[in-house]
Amino acid sequence: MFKNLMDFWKGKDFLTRVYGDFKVMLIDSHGMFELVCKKLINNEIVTSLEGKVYEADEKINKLEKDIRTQVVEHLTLQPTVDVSACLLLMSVVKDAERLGDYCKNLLEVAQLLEKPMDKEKYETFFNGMDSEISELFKKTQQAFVESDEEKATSAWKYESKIVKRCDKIVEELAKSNLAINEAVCFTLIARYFKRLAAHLTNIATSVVLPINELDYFDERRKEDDNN
Amino acid sequence: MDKHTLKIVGKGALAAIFLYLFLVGIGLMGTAFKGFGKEFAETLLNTTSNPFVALFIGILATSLVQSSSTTTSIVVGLVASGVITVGNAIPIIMGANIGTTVTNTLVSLAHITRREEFKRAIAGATVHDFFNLICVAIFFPLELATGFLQKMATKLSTTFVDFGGIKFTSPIKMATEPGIHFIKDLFTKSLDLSHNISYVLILILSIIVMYISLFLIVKLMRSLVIKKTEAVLNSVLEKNGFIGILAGLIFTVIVQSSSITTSLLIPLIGAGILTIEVAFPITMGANIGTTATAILASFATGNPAAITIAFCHLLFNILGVTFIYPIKIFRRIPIHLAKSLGELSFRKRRYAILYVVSIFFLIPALLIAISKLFTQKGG
Repeated sequence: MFKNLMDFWKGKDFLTRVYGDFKVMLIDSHGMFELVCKKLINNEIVTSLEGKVYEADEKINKLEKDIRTQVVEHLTLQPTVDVSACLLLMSVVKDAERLGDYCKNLLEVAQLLEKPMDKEKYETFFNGMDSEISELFKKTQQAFVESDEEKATSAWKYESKIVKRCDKIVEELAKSNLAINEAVCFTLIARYFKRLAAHLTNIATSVVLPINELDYFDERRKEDDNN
Repeated sequence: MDKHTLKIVGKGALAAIFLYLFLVGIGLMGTAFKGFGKEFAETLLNTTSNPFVALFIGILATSLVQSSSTTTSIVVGLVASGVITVGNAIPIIMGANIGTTVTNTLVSLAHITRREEFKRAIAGATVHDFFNLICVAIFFPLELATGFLQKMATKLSTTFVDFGGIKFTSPIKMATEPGIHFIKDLFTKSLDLSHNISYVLILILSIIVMYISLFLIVKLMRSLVIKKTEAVLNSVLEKNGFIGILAGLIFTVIVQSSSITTSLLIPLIGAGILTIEVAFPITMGANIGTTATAILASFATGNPAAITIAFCHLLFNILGVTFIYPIKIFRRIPIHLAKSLGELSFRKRRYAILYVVSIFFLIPALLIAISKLFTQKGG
C-alpha cells in the first residue's frame, strides 16, 4: 500500500513526459518524410497521402504547443529545476515543427511535377540523398532521446556532407538544360532536403552544444576544423 | 526504502514538526494576551469595536505580512484568549480576505515590462481582489445589520462541540499544552523577569514561532506536492469550473497558503496559457482552502469562540463562492472588472501601481487614522 502510494506520488517526471512528446514529433515527421518520398521519388500510389501528411503535421504542431505549455507550467511551478533543458526544448521544438513543414513542402513539389519523377534523372543529381536524410532522422532521434554525444557528432558530420551536396546540386541544376518544371522541382527538392538536414542537425547537436550556441553548429565546426 | 522515498517521508515528518510548533505558537499567543490583563483587552476591544476600523486593520495587517493564514490565526488566538469578541473579529477576518490578494497582485507587477503580458497578468491577479471586495461589499453590511454569519458559525461550532468535536480535537490541545506550559514557565518562573516583560517576550516568541513555522510548512508542503500538481495541472485546467474550485481548495489546504495557489497562476495567465475564466474558480477554491489553517489553530485552542471565528471565515468564503459563482451574470462581474483594470493598466501602467498602493495600504491606513482621530475627538 505504502509502496503503491509512493509510486503514484513520484509519477512520471516532467522531462520524461516532454521528451516522450518530442520523440513522437520526430517519429511522426520521419513517417511524413518517408510517405512523401514514396510518392515524390518512387512514384508509388499512397492512399489518401495528402490527408495523412496534413493530419501528421497538425499532430506535430499540436505537440509543439503542448510541449511549450508544459515548459511554461514547469518553469512557473519549479523555476529553478531543469532550466537549461526547458530552454533547449523551446528551441528544438521549433526545429521539429519545421521538419513537418518541409515534408509538407515536398508533398507540394510532388503535386507541382507535371509528369511522374524520372528516377534515373533524380539519381543522377541526388544519388540516394532521400535515404541519407531518412538515416539522419534515425540518428537524430537516437542522439537526442538517448543524449548520445557520439551519435550527435556523427549526425553533425553527416549533415555537412548533405549540405555541400545540396548546394552543388543547385549549381548543377542552374547549368543544366532540364525542362523548367523539372528544374524548378529539383531545385526545390534540393533546398528542402538541405533545410531538413539543417533542422535535424540543430536537434542532434543540441546534445553537445552549449545552450547559447544552439543552431550555430556550423560556426563551431569551423572553429574545430581550424584547431 | 529508496533515497527519494526517504526524502518524501523526511519532508512530511518535518512539516508535522513545524505544524506542531505553529500550534504551540498559537497557544503561546493566547497565553501572552491573557497575561497582559484586563486593561490591554479593553484597549484592543475599543480599537476593534468600530467594524470599519477592524475591516481595514484586517486588510492592512494581511497586506503587510502577506499571509491571511497568519492574520486569521492571530485573530483566533486573540478570540481564544478573550481579548476580542467574535463580533469584533469578523470584520478583521473579512479584511484579511482582501489583504491576502496583495501577494498575487505584486507577482503580476513582475510582468510590467511586457504590456500585453502585463494586461493579462494584472487582470488575472485582480480577479481575486475584485471577488473578495464584492464579497465584503455584500456580506459586511449584511453582517452588521443581521449578524447572520456569527449566528451561523455559532450554531455550527455548537453542533460541533455537542457532537464531541472538541473531544475529537482534544488530542491537538493535549499535545501542544506541555510545550506551551514549558515555555510559559520558563519566562514567568525560571527567568527572573517582570510580569509584563515576560508576557511581551512570550508574545514576540509566539509570533516568531508562528510565522517561521507557517513559512516552513508552506515551503515543505509546496515542494512535496508540486511535482504531482504539475503532472495533473493540465487535466484539471481542461475540466469545468467546479473541478477548478476543488483543485484550488485541495492544493491550498495542503500548502496552507492561498497566496501560493493564486500566485502560481499569474505567470501562466501572463503567458496566455491560462485564461482568467479558467483561473477564477481555482482562486475561489483557494479562498475556501485557506481557512483550514485558522480552523486547525482554533482546534488547538479548544475554545468554542475561537472555533466560531474560524468557522465564520470558512462560511464567509463558502457563501461568497455559492453566491457569486453559479450565477453567470454575477460571475462575470469580477472578471469584467479585472479585465477593465487590465486594459487601463495596459494603457497607463502607473494605474496598476496606484491601485495596489491605494487599495491595500493607503486607503486602509488613512481610514484607520481618520477614525482614530474622530474617536479621540469624540472621547
